Amino acid sequence: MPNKRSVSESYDPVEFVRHPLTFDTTVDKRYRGDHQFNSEDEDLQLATIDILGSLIAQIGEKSHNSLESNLDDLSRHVIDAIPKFKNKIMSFLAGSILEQPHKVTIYSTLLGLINVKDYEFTQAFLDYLLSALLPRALQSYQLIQSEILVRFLADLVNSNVISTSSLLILFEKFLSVLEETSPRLRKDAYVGLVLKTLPWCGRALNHTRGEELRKMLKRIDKYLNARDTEFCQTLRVWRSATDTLEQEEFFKAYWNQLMNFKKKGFTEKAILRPYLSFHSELSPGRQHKLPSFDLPEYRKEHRAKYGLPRVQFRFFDLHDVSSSELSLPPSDSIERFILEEQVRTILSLDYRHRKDCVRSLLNLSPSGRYPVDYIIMEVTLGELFRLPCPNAKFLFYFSVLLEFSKLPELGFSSLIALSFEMLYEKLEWMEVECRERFSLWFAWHLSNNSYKWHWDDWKNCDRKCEPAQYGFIRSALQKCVKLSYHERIHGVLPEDLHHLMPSAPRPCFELFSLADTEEFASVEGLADSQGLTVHFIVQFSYLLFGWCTFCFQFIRLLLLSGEYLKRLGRKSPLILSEACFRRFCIGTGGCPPFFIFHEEFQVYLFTQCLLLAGSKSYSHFISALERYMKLLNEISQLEDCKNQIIYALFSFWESSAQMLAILMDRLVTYRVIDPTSVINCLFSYDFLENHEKLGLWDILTATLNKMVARTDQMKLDIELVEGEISYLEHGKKGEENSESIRVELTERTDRLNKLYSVLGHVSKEQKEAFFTLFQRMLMVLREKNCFYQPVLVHLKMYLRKYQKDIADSMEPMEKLIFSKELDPEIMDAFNASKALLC
Amino acid sequence: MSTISSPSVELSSYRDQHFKGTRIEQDRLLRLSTTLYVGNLSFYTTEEQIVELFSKCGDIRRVVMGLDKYKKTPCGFCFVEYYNRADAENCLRYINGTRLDDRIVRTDWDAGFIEGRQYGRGKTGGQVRDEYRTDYDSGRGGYGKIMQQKMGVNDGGFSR
Repeated sequence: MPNKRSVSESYDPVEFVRHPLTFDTTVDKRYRGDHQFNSEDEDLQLATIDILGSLIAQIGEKSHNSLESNLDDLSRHVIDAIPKFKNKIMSFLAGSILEQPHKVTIYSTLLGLINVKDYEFTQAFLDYLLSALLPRALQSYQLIQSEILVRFLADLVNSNVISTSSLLILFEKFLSVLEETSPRLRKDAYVGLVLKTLPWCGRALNHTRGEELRKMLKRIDKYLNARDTEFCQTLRVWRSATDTLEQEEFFKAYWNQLMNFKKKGFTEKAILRPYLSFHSELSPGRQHKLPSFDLPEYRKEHRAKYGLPRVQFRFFDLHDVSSSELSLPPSDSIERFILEEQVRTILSLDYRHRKDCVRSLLNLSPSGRYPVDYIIMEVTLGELFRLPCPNAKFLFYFSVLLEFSKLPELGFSSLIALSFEMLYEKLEWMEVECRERFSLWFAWHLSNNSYKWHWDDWKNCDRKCEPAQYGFIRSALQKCVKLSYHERIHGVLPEDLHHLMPSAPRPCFELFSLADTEEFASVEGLADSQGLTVHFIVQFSYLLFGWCTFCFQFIRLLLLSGEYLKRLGRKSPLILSEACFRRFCIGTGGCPPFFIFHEEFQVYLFTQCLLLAGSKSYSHFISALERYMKLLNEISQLEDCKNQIIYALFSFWESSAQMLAILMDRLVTYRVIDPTSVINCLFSYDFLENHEKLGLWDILTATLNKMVARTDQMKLDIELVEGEISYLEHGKKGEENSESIRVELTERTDRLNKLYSVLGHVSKEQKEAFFTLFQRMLMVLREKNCFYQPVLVHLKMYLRKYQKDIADSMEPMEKLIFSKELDPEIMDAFNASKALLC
Repeated sequence: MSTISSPSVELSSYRDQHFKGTRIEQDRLLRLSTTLYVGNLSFYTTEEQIVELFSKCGDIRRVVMGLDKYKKTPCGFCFVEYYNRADAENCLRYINGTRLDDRIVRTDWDAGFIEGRQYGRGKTGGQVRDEYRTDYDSGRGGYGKIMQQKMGVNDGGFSR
């Protein structure tokens, strides 16, 4: 039941902030007061109402009877139950509408039927929608929920529940934002609320209030025409504008569809309208006036919450549909919008289980008329590839598509294979960030299907002729290996593709000559069997660091090398790998033996030892890391030394992008390394040269994500405490325990102050990191060397992805970093990112 | 969507029988927990694979591999702890019931890892389910332990 929580919890700031997506349909206190019954009846009564609840939720699904007779029955049951369970029924209805938006016309018919018999209940329900649910949704920026509610309200003109004039008053209220000086995002949101309901209510409005409707459309047209849509170019998934791939800004494209709709007299074929068969039953109903309410005011700090603009995503052409009977509605028809919008809404809801989402999508009506599977696929891909980032985790879209492919009757797996092939063909025009998402999906989907794929088709892929495809296969194979293991993927692939595999992971310890030990496989064994020695080395490096005299360090190192090699059964002296030797010799000005006295070398050596000790598994690394945390924290205070940790890590795990990513992630999480150092290190040419092999961009993105997530979490915590404070101040006024409230208040205020001071520090660090990031990127770009393209692509990506995090520092950035003399391509990307949040 | 939903993020009916405390306390911990039990893994699945897959739902605090009590080798389960409850919920939504190393993994809430719980509780050291199995499962050491004893075969070795 949507109403599981008790009424006393209806305001729970913790819940509310933590799960902004889940929608609270709890009926407010003032709607309390369901009929009280004797305890004997209670169980039976509750069981009955629960059954009624599931009937309401399931109406319109597969059934032996027609929808009409089911609706007729259900409305009678509901009307019977209203005297006892008024609030429960309101809550069931609202919950069902919000959770199954594709059935909105069924619920409006149901309410119409109820309205004929019970005018008061309908009025109470409308009150509840407009004075509780809708304002709450708008206030908390739950745009999808607001859209669903407004769509339902608009559809009520068709079932004779509300009058068209009353709906127009509501629209007028929304459109009042056009007179404000607020930014485009807010205006778009409210204009969208109005425009998106027109497929449902357009005909009725045209019929009774044609003149007013035309006036309203004219006003919106004026607004849309004056809008600046510079941001579009940065949001496009496809970089070439061939016919099918062209991606117009959403409102522009939708306006075209609306105009075609208008030309046809506001008629369409994609909406199931059950109220048409109840015309005579519905006509005696009395129309309601919608209660008025106030729009939430604009708050500058929340502007990003209105949701970013989007561009239309199209993937399938009319010819791609294999079915001979069904065809896709043309891309400029209103039917295409109606179907897409329903799928998009369903995908945007917060599901407890992916199977619920699949079930809702399968119930999309009218399923027999259009190739709904293609629409579902197209919209899901559009959401997955949505820039700067999708609404949900990638895995949600992956798992929904996988769930579809498990239903054999749908033939969805061949549609997925077709999509893989089509995307592969179009890779060349695809935005790099989306190629990355595609390879993630491909690898994950294959890992769920035993890596079965017609690999042979790809074996002639040539690096020069098809660089995008070549890069994709490499990246996809790398991701397959990460989810599985090297031999597995090696075994699945035809021999011609083996050269595209990443190298097998092989740690590289530099303390002794590798020529001595042949394969590192034996060293891995060494870390295990000689755990004591390794531990000794780590301990030793610990001692080396800082506290000992030079002499003492030297003796210890000699002793150690003897001890260590004796255990290895070798008599040769300690040898460093050549690369390591060279790196540090240069640092000491050509005096080779003395580099061992340098702190930098000691840190390097220490980190290598630590990595060797932790090379057996992730957990081994974590325990080694936790053991030497104190020392690592001290090292991280030393400007010159902390980078050595990164260098040591990269030389140790050079062969495995996966280990690098996982271990870097830990080092950043434990704050051994700060994001700015990561950025500084990664933009050296040594690393850039191997950026593909090392998975450099993945590491960088993960680091930035982590940093941004930390700041966001702090902001959420602050919002939470502020919510608690205002709750304590207002919510509990006049209650007896004023003393304890005061104590709580002081405690919360202290916490709030602390949080603010931490946030100040964290934001400063973040600002610095972004400045460094863009500075380093532009430094590379200015040199115009072979790294120009990859760096430019990622510069665009970061500007777009983190626009809400850098929004406040755009002005100083423009002054200091993004100066006018830069390449126009770079400036375009910067300006587009700036325009996103306007 | 409670009326028609499968309860994937709700508590399941399984309760750890070795839990020290009352059932109410156990349920309270389960409702606040950010730790998941992950079952039906192959003995050969590595921690890196687990980190790779599970971090797609959010930042992981730690992974604890389930080990054979005597051999101290992986025995087909682990605990994954997230930093945030919401990420763990996502894991139940999106990963539970999908494959890792070709096996359908099962995830469930756990009241929080306690030292000692990483070991299998079966008589022979592994998980109890591997004692009584009668099928041959190459990812989990061949036949069940009791079957193996009856048939007089060794367990399936431990190399990939």
